[in-house]
Amino acid sequence: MNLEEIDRILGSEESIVASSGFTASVMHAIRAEADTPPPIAFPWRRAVPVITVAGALIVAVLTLTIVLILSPNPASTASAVSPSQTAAVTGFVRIAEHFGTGWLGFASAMTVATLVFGLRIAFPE
Amino acid sequence: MTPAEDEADVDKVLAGDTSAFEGIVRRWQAPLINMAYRFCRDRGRAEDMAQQAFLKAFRGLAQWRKDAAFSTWLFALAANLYRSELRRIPVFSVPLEQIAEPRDPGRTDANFDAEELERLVRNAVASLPRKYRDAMILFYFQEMDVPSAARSLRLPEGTVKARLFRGRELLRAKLEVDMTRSFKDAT
Repeated sequence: MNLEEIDRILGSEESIVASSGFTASVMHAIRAEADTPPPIAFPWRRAVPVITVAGALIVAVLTLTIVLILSPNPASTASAVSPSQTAAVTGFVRIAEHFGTGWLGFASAMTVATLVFGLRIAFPE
Repeated sequence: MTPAEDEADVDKVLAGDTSAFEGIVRRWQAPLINMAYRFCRDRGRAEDMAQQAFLKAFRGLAQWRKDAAFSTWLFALAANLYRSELRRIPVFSVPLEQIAEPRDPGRTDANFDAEELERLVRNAVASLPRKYRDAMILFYFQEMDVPSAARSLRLPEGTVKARLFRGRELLRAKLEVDMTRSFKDAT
């Protein structure tokens, strides 16, 4: 079979006609789309300050925790820290040990990776 | 269909008159359904896909910049959606080896029934690798116009030409193998 024959066959395909209710069906979907209220916008003005403060707090607690863990003399390091900071860090460390910080971090990382992967499959564009 | 009609209806829809979109649907339903049919080879699914294309066009109407024809923008949007749909739910196509042998055992390609030959060719197109298949479908849909097919695919013309060349070579090789096999099996 030569290319001209292929061109003739593929270029001569007959057109199909839309079914009688097609336009009505499309317009029904369009009107439903138009009547749907827009999604509620995320309240960034309220959220950004809260996220910033929470992030700073987490960073401070983690930093103090790491300093205490890595310090060769935790007692002297701890004494340089104020009692409220010590209590916060001690509490955090106890909670972390109780729940297994390593596993928590691993689970969180897996959740984020799964979410990103799933979104890429669902919305490849 | 005139560009002025499309632009007028788009302006009305963007101003809030949803019913003006019906004019766009009536003018472009046939091309969109036929393009979808060439991808999926199923009438019902073609209409579903065309309806999704219109819905997507309605949502993104404000993104049409009017520097290109409305048809160019609409076809590119539809082609992209159809290709995504086929990735999501591929068309079931029968491999060439499973297509029934010709009724008359002594046949060569010259003796193939015209309808059978057309079905063979269209099945062969559907079985091509996606990038060649999509280029060929849009090339023939756009009446063998490479620039239009390239705009619908959002690819450079050179890329489309290369894919068309390779796709047609693959198609011809597949058809020759199958027809030769059918002839040998019959003799």
